[in-house]
Amino acid sequence: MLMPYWFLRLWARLRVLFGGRRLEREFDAELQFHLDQQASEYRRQGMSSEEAARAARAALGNVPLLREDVRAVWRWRWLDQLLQDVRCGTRTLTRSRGFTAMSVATIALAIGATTAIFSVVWGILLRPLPVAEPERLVRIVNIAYIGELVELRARSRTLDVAAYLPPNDRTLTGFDDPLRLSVVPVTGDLLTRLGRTPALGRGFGLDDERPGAEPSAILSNALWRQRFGADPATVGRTLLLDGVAHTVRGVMPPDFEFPSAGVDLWVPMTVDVTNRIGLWARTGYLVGRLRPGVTLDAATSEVRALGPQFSELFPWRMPDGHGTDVSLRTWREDRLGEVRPMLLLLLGAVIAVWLIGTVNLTNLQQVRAAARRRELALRAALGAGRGRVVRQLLTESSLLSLFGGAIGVAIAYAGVPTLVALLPADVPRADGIRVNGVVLCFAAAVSLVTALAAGTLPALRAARLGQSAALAGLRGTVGGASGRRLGIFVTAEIAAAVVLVISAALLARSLAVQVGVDVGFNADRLVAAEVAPSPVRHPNDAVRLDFYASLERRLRALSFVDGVGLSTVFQPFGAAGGGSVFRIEGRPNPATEGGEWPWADLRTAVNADYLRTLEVSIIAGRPFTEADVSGAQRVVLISQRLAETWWPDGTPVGQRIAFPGSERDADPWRTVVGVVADVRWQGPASEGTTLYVPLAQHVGAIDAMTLIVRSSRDPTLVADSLQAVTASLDSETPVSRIRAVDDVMAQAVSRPRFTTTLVLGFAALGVVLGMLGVYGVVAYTGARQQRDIGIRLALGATRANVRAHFVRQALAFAGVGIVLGELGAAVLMSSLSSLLFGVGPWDPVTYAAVPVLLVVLATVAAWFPARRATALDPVAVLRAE
Amino acid sequence: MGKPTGLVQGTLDLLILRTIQHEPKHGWAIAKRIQQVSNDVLKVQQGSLYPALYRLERDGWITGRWAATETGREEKSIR
Repeated sequence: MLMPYWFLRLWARLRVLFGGRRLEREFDAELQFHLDQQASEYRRQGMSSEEAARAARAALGNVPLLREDVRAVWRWRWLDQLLQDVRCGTRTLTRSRGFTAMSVATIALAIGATTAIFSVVWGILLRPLPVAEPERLVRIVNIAYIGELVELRARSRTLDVAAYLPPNDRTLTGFDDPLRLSVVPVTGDLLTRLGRTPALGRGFGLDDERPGAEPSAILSNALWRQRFGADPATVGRTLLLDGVAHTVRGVMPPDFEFPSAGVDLWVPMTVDVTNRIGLWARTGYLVGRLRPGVTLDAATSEVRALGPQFSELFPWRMPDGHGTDVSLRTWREDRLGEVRPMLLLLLGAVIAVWLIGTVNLTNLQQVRAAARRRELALRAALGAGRGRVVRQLLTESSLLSLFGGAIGVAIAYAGVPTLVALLPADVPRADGIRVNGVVLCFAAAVSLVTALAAGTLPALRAARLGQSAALAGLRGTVGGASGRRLGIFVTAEIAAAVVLVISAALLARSLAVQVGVDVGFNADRLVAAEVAPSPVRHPNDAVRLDFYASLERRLRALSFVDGVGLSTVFQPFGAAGGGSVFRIEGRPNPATEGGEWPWADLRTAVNADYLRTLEVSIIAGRPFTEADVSGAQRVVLISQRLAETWWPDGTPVGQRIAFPGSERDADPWRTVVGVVADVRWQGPASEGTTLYVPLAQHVGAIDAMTLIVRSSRDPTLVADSLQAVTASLDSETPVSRIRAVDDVMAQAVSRPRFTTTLVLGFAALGVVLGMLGVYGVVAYTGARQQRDIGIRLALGATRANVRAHFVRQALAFAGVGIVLGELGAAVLMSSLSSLLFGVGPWDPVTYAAVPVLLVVLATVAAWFPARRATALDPVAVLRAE
Repeated sequence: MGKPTGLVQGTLDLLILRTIQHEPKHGWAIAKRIQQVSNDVLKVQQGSLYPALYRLERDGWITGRWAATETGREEKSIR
């Protein structure tokens, strides 16, 4: 029977691999048989049996050597040699401690940083999203009305559409203390569209959307564990939310965070198709799942065609062009698109550090290979082929890399929790960041790439040198090709360092601008909290306003309280919304005559003491007083930028404005009585345009208010007093989200601060490594050119001349690196310009200053080794020849 | 490595294959036969035959089998 060739080959190899000992026995038996046969032949020729046995052995040859040769055939020889190389490499590396320590430290830092950042990038950006087929889940952008949801559901043939509303807070009562919970209303089919089901119980159905459906709720895993002791019998229980009984339908799995972390429960949102106003006035967020076989493009063109048709269905005239800019965004893009630039920048920075580290390593290996020329030449002379020498050197650099990589992974393990703690609170999915299997594979791959990248060139070169130079000793100079290659190292390192330093400098400048921006009020010693009077005991606005008035009075009576502010919007907590359009008396009404609506980021009703408590400066007119009550003249305060934008050449004080929705009032107009500073709650980048009305003249429901207290006491003590005072008024009214306003404002710049801190760190690391690289290259060149230097000095060159020559050479290569680095930085930063504030991606000052800094540093880094290289005695060097 | 140079190695391989072309033989018989026909290649050491045999087996040119009747090893051409 003929076996296929490859099969026999494989079989033979496997036998060798697994049957080593049996093969040895067979071979012994075979040799014995051979000896026996040969001996009996010699006996036939007339020898004695002892003579015959000896002659047979002699004829066979050196048996141990033979055994070695046969073994070499058996085993995968490279494995043997690999082990041999590893042993030998370990020995060599332990002998040259300085080199090893330097290389391992470089690799450990580079791989540690890369691995740590990669674990963040993996955890946030790359890790699969916890929804089914995330690439087929989309956000529908630029149409948001519930009526549009209903129409899309009826008309779209490409998408199954669900929706949810922004989180709102409700009070859970029936326990020892009232608890404020973050609630997200969702359509009955939202979970189905996400492809998720509760871990316990069941989800909502479309029936739950109908008006009059029994109120129900699905709990987050965290709430279920904390409040209900993870009791499975929670499903079916009744919860009192704002005094309304809700049946617990189910509990979601722990990884379910929708739309973001921190949501406590989900309730069905009501879609009442009979209520036209409710349908077309309310907005939410629309989510769609592509139907089978439908592409994103097909769905996009469908919603683009449908969008503009909706504007005619509104019970009122919509602004021109409503629905024309509708688009689809993948779920991943929607959730993560906004953190991507930050993470990419960090990844880019850390790759630059890694690159510098690897170049340094290449350089170190090169220097070492030169120092080992004799050893390598000896190996070549003893018959080691070029491939063999290359392999040995590569094994050595792999050992270094793997060892350094292991330390790097340890660094990452230790560093990642710190990194996660530093991560701004609003970065999604941060709790899933850890050094896991994927990250370890990445670290291993990077270590190997490092080994190959840093080891190949020096190994090839060393092998060639070894063969050509043989035992001739140190002769010749580094000129021509090899000098240029060393120069390329310098160029690459400086280019990467320039990219790092420019990025860091731009980020730092932009952070400084942001921190320096006047937020418009004094956040020092302010404590904010949210107070929601229990709806059962405070059934209407009048009762609630009384409650707030007594709360304010009692707080103000405390000796350590300097001021008490109340506001109807939750600005300190970063809640979105709260903006408002308005119209100005005597100008065209945009609602009927078209034209642009004046717009303020924020419209809030505040108590008389609010602006004084926050120390918002009054620019013109007067602040509110206790006299601005409901029967009095209706008044409004506007912020500075509004005044400048809408009354550019005059004073708005005394002018009148109106808010939409007040048309049916007998007198919709409110008189502007003053102009105050813009308050930038949303951070330095926001405009902070604000409209203030007196609390007593507020129109509309007040469910909860923000309480802001300035106090000389520690924020935690103030928090305790707030809670005690509120409880003394009503035990069922929760005080939640108590925070020092300082912290809240720091939060607004926490992302730039985080990015800047890390990139600055990487830039510092990159510059240090880069300068070590320049130092190393010059030192190596200097050592190799001792003879040249000797001749020059002997011929009358001064040491300063020769030194300058070295420094000039290094700077020439550094100059090319600077140009390349500036180009790289310009490309990188212009693609990530969303990270910058108040400074352009091509800021000329930065691009001019950074090269100066690096030239100075490179000069210093080149000068010291140059001085050492020229410190030789020319006579001694030339004699040595 | 103490392996023979390329020319001798190749020659030896061919000699082995030719020897077992018609009938299987064991190692000693192959060595003897090759000594007879070539007279010089294996004169120094008969043992040099074995690494070549194993290499040929590893690479699948030949396959070895222990015969029940004999205590020796037979080599078979498998071409």
